[in-house]
Amino acid sequence: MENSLAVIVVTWLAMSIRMSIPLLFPSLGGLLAQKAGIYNFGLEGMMLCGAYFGYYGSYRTGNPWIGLLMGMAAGGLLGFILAFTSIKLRVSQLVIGLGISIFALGLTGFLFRGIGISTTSPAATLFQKIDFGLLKEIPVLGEILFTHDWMVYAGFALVILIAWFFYRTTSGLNFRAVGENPQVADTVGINVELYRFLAVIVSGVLASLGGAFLSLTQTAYFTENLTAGRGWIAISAIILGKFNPWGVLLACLLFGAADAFQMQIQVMSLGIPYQFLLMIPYILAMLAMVGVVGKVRSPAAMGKPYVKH
Amino acid sequence: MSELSVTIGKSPPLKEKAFLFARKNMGLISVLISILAIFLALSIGAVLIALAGINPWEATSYLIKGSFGNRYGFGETLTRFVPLLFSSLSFAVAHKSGFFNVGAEGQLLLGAVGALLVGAYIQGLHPVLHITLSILAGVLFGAMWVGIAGLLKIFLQSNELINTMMLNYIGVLFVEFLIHGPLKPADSYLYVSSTILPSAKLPILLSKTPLHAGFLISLVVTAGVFYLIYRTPIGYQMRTVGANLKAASYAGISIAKVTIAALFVTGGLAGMGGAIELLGTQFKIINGFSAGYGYDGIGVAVMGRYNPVGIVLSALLFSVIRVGMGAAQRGAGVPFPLLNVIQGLIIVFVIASGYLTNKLSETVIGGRA
Amino acid sequence: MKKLSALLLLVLIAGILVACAPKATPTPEPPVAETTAEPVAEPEEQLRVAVIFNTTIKDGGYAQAGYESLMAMKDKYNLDVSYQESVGDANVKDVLRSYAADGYDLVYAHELYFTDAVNEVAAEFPDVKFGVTGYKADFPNVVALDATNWQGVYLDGVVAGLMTKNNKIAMVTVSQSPTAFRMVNAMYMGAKLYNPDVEIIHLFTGSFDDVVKAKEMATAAIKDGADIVYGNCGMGTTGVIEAAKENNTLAIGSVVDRSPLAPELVLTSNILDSGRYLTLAVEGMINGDLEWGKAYILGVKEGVEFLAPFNEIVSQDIIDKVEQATQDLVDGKVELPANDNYLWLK
Repeated sequence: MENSLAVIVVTWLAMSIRMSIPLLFPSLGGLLAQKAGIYNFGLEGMMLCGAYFGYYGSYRTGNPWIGLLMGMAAGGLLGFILAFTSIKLRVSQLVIGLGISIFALGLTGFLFRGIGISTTSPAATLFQKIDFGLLKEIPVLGEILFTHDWMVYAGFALVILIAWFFYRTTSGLNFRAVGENPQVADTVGINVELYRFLAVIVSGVLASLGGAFLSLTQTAYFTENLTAGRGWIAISAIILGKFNPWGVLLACLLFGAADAFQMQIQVMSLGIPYQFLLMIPYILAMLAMVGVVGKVRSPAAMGKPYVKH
Repeated sequence: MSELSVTIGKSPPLKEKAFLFARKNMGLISVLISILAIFLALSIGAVLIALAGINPWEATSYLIKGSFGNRYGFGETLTRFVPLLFSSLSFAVAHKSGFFNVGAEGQLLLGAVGALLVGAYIQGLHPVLHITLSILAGVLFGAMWVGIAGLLKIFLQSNELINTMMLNYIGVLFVEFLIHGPLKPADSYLYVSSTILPSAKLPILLSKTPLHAGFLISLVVTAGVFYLIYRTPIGYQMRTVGANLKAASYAGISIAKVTIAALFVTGGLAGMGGAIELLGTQFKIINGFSAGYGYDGIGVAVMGRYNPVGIVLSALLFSVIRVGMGAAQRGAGVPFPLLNVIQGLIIVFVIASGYLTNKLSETVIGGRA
Repeated sequence: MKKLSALLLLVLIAGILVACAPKATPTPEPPVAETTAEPVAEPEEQLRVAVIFNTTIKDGGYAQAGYESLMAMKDKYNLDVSYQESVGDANVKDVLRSYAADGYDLVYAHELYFTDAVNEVAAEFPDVKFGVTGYKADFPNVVALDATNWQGVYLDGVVAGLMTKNNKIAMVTVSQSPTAFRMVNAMYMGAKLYNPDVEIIHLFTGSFDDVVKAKEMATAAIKDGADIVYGNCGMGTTGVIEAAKENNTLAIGSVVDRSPLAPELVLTSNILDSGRYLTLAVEGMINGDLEWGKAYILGVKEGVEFLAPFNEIVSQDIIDKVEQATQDLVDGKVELPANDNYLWLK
C-alpha cells in the first residue's frame, strides 16, 4: 500500500491529539494551582472521581451533561479538601495529594461495586460526536483536526483561556503574584488564601474533566483505575511545560504523541520488545527535563505555606 | 502567654496546670492526636463497610484476628512490614537531605534484580556469605537506579521528583522485560524469573509463619540509619544541606559529595528492601512483586514524622491494615477497594492532625512539636 | 539518644512479641455465615468453599465469571463460601494457608500464575482439597483445570478468515505470552483454512485494565487496514469493541458474549466460561467424579470454550464451516498451535 506511511503518520497525529487530552485537563488544573503556589498532587484522584461520577451520572440519567457536572463537583470537592489541608493546615502537599489519590482510587472502586455486579456493567450515555460533515473529508487535515469529541476542542480553548487569563487580566496577575510573592500580594490587599483556595478547587474541577473525558467520550464504562496513572504524568507535563499554558499544551501533545507513536510501532510489528516501546513517554519526559535545565522558574513561593504576619 | 502564677497557698489555676502538663508531655500528646486521627479514619471506613451491608464489628474482629490475633497472621503482618519500612526509610533519608525520592518503587525492584543475580546464579556459597552478597548487590542496584536521577540533578539541575517518578515506570517495565526473557528460566511456562538458590534464602524466625530474618535486619538497619543521620559527621552534613543549601556551602560542605552520599543511602535502602523481600519472602521476581510498597513508604515516612519510632509504628499500622483487610474480606466479605479508602483516609487525617499538634505545641511551648 | 533508646526498646518488645506469638492453632475457626439470611439446613455438613481471585471481581470477565459461578453454586448447593480478590502473586501463599488453616473444604485459586503456589501449599495441608485454574497438579489433593485458550479462537479464525475483505485481522492482547502466541496462531490457522492470503496484526496493551489504550491500539490497526478486530485483553476488550464501533469495523469479542456492546458489528465471541472451572471443581467434589491429582485441559469438547451466537450477517455457509471445525477440535484433528513464535515466521 503506497499510502501506508502517510496513513500511519496521519493516524498518529490524530491519535496524539486525542491522547494528549486526558493529560491536558489535569495538567492545566495542576498549573493553575501551582501558579498560585500550591502543588496539586491529587490530580490522579480527582481525575478518577471525575471519571466515575461522570459515568455514574450519565448512566443513571441518560444525560452525559449531568454526568459531567457530577464529575466536576466531585473533583471540586476533592480540590476543596486539598486546599483546606494545604492552605489552612499547612500539611505536606506531596503526601496529602498522594493520600487523596489513594483514597479516591479506593472510593471509586468501592462505589462502582454498588452498581451491582453483573457481567456487563450498565453503559453510560456518551456525548454525541460532532459531525463536521465535509470538513472531515479534507485529506490529511480532516482526519487530524475534525474527528474529535467536543472536549478535545474545549481543551484547546481552555489553554487559550488560561493564557489570556494569566497574562492579560488583573485577576490573573493577582493569581501569579499570590504564587510568586505572597507577602507582597498580601500587602497590596490581595486575599492570598482566597485566591489559593479558588485555584486549587478549580484545579480539581479541571482534573475531573480529564477523567470525565475518558468515561464519557472514550469508553462508555468505568473500570477500576481507569485513569491508569495519567494524573501523575500530568505533573511532569506541568514542569516540562515550564509552568505556562502553552508549554503545558506542548508537553501534553508530546506525551500523547509518544504514546501514540509506540502504538504505531506495535502496529508495524518491528519486533522491538513492547516494554521498551511503552517506556518511551517516560524516557522522553526525563530527557526533555534535561533540556529544561535551569530555565524552569517555578513560582517562587511554591511549597512554602503562607503564614500571615 | 501563660505565666505561672505563684500565689502562696493556692494551687495554680487549671489553665496553667494544663499548660504545664502539655509542655512536659508534648510528645505523648502528639501521639495521642495521631491515634485520634487514625481512629477517625477507621471510623469512616467502618461506616462505609456498614453501607456495604457488612457488620463493622465483625469486620474489625476479623481484621484484628487476621493481622495479629493468630500466629500466621502475626507473622504475615511483620513480614509485610519489612519492605514498607525500607522504602519509608529511603524517603525519610532523602527528605532529611533536602530532596524528594519518590522512586522507591522502582529502586526496590532493581534491588531485587541485583539480589537475584547473586542469589540465583552464583553457586557454592555459604549461606551467610551468599545472603550478605545478595543484599549488597541489591543495595548497589538500588543506589544505581536512583543514581540516574541523582546525576541528572547534580550535573544538570534536573528535577529529581519527576525523574525518580518516571524511573519508577521505566523500572517496572524494564524488570517486566527481564522476566520475559533474560531472567526467565528457559523451561518456564510463565513469565517469572529464576528462583534463588536455597543458600540465599533468609531463615525463618517464627516457625509456621512467613516471618523471616529480614525483620530483624530491618530494625537494625533502622537504628543504623538514624545513627548515621544524627550521630555522624556525614549525617550532620546531609541534614545541613537539607536544611539550608547556602549555609551548607558557606560552611565549606561539598554539596556534590554529600548529595552523592545521600543518594547512595536513599537508593541503597530501597534496594535493600527489595533484596530482602526477594530473599525472605518471594524467592523469585514476578509481575506485581511490589504491592505498592514504594508509594506507601512515602505516606508512612511523613506520618511517622521522619523519626525512627514514628516510622516503625506507622509502617506497622499499615501492615496490620493491609493484612487485616484481607482477613476481613475472607471472613466478612469486605470488598478490597476499602483497603485503599482506609489507607488514604489515614494518611489524610494523620498528616492533617499534624497541624493540630503544631498549633497546640506553639501555644503551649512557643515552638513546633 | 532518646530516640535511639526508644527504638532499641521497640526491637526488644518486638523480639518478646515474636517469642510469645500465638501458637499455631489447628482447630478451625467457626464458619462464617454470609450476610444474607439463609436457612442453613445442616451446618455440620455444609461444604465450605473458598476462592482466591488475582484481580477485582468486577473486571467484567475472568474473575467476575468465577465469582458469579461461585454465587450460583452457593445457592444451588447451600455452600458456605468466602473469597478474596486482588490477591497478588506475591501474597497468594499466605491467603491459601489462611483459608486452609480456617478449615475450608475446597480452596480454589482462580489464576494461572497461582499454580506453583497452590501446589506448594497443598503439600502442607494434605487434608484440604485445592483447585487451581492452572497447568499442574503435583499432589493428590490438587486438581488443575485450564482451558486450551486457543480452541475458541481457532473457531473465531474460521469466521474471520471468511468475513475479511482486506485479509487483515488485528488482535489486541495484554502481552506476548505463550498463551497469546497460541491464540494468535490459532486465529491464523482457523482463518487460513479457507483464506490463504490472510494476515494477522498482533498488538499488546501491556495492561490488563487500560481500556483506553486497548481502544487506541485497535483504532491504529483499523487505520492500518484491518477490517476485523479481535480483543482479548482483560478489561481492555471493551475498548477494542468500541474502537470497532467508532470506525464501523467488524469485531470479534472474547471471554463473554460481547455482542451487546455493538450488535451489528460483533460477529461472535469466543466464550471462555471461566466460571465453569469452579463449577467443575465444586461439583466434582460433591459428586466425586473429578480425578484429583490431575491436570485437566478443557476446551470445546468439555463445554468450557464455545462461540457466542452469531451475528445475522454471518452466512449459513460460514456457520457450517465452524461446525465442521468444532467437530475437528472435538475429534482431536487440529494441531496444537505453536506458542513461542508466530506461525508465519517459522
